[in-house]
Amino acid sequence: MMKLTSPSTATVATSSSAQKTVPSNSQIVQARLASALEAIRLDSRDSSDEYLEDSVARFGGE
Amino acid sequence: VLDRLVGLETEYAIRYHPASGTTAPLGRFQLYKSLIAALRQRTIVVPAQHFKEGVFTATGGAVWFESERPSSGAGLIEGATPECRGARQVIAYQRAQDRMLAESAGAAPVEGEFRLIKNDRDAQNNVYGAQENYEAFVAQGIRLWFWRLGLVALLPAIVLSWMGVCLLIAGLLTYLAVAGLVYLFLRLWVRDRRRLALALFGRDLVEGRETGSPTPVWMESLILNATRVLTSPLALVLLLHCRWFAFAHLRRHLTPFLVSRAVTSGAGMVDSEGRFHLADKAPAINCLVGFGGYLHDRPMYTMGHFFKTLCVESLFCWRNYRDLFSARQRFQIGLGDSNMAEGAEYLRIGTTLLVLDAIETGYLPQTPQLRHPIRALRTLCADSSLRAEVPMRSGQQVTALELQRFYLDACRRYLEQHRDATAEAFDILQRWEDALEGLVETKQHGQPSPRLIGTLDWVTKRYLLENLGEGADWSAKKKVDIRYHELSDHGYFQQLKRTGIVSSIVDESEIERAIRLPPSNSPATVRGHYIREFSGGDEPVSANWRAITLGSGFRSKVIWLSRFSQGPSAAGKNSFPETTTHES
Repeated sequence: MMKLTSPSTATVATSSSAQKTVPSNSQIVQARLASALEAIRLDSRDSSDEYLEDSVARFGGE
Repeated sequence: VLDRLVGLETEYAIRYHPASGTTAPLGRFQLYKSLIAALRQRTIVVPAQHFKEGVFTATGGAVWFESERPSSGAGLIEGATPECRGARQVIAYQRAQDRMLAESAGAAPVEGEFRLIKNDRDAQNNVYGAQENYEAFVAQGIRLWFWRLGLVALLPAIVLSWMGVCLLIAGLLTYLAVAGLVYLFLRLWVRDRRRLALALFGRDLVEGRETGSPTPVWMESLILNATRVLTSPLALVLLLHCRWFAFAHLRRHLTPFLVSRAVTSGAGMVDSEGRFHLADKAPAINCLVGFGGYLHDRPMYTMGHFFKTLCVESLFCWRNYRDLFSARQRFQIGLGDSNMAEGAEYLRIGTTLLVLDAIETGYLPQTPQLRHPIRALRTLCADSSLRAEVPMRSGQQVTALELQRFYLDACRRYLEQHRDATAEAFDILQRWEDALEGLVETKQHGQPSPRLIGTLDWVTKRYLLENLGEGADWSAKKKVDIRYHELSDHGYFQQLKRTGIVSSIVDESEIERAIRLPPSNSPATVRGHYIREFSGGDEPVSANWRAITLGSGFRSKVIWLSRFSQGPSAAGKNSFPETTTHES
């Protein structure tokens, strides 16, 4: 997975001892992203929910 | 700079999954009605005085039911932002509209899942989506006079079309009278009388209420085609007139910019062969100028509003015809995707506003002219490696990034001469440059630049597709393509947004304001004011883009809004515009 950084998160000041246990914003973002990507990957393989079977927007004559 | 009125129209696809056990799933018109019922709980709405079903909201924007064939069950929800000034403002109203409609769909009183998808093409390749409207000079100097003379010369064709429309209405009334007699005769022998009545009269008349089926299904195509035939003389001459004179100077210099604009603002698309395109709508564009759907045309520049005004609206109000003589008109761009990423949406509108300003003030006298613009558009959009080159009239080859760089440099020179321009103009320029630099990295490394993921839609969508893995088939890719645009919490872009990788342009307070109040210095200011002040009173209130009507019948008052579209300098920046009223 490509490593991405949050565009808007500020650096969180932590003590040196806390740094060992508290994940940085970037790590939190990476963890959330990995989770979201996995959820999307799994959901995309489920074709039973009519996103493809039926036209979602029959405009008529188009 | 960035002073002109701008408004966005967005057609949202409907995804409706009836609850299990539902015997009669709702049609799209009923879904629209349910959505409006839920919207009414969130804001003030008044009926639209227009030739299609819709409402105006207290912010001056509108929501429509968009369909050419409602009786066949077809239809989309269309949202239109109020007329704004500047990219940031219009993005705030677009986001407010997305949120209000998505929440209303979620809360609508229907059994089952009702969600909106803000995209431009479904899996069946039906194309719809976004339209941009900019206030611009229709022509200047001698060309403006040719435009006006043409409008006068069109009068015989206009009258002919009116006669055609009246003939059609008379024909329909005659049909109803004959069908009534036929029904009275046949009902003696036919057992299923309801079915007979539906076939003869349509559902609206049979049920005595609005169901979205004003005519029998079989008659729908007949009326549509008859209307096209009867109005074709006007359509043909108006199309030629528009091609020669309407925004001709703007179009000439804007086309290379629009052809390459997908690199920053395309939404990305997986086609039926599984290939990835930068933009959703661009491959469907088949001409530069057209009316949009009239003859299966899908133009880059849409002139359909001129046609509707001359063909129908002028028949009921001569002011609509007179307004077409103004130098400043609505310039509609049909090429552009519905964006999920604010960064892409901001660049789409912001860069276009800057380029329009530069062209109208003469800072772009020479632009690279493409030999085949439509072919070039398809070639550039089909190449996500950004290496494709297209021929110019000079014989040179040019890439999309080179075209965008040309316009960026021109706009930078333009702003250097206008140091009093707003901070927003310089912000757009900076973000444009950043995006192009990121795209150069993408081109060099052959994979999406990380800094563009969450900022540009096509880059973000491609990133999602690449994360599906090698074994993903077409249906998985297409589902990502479509569900990326779903506005519910389950939408893929919304899921990405919650991770924190998506950058925002407007903040929460701007969206909150845009949900409650209209923009200032705009016709929407007055429209929103009257809607807020007078709806819910004794007199009915209705609205359209040009006027507000208070009351009904002969004692109604009409407040015209056209005089407030002349720009802040004309309207007065800090004063509420004076309204003109008269008895209709």
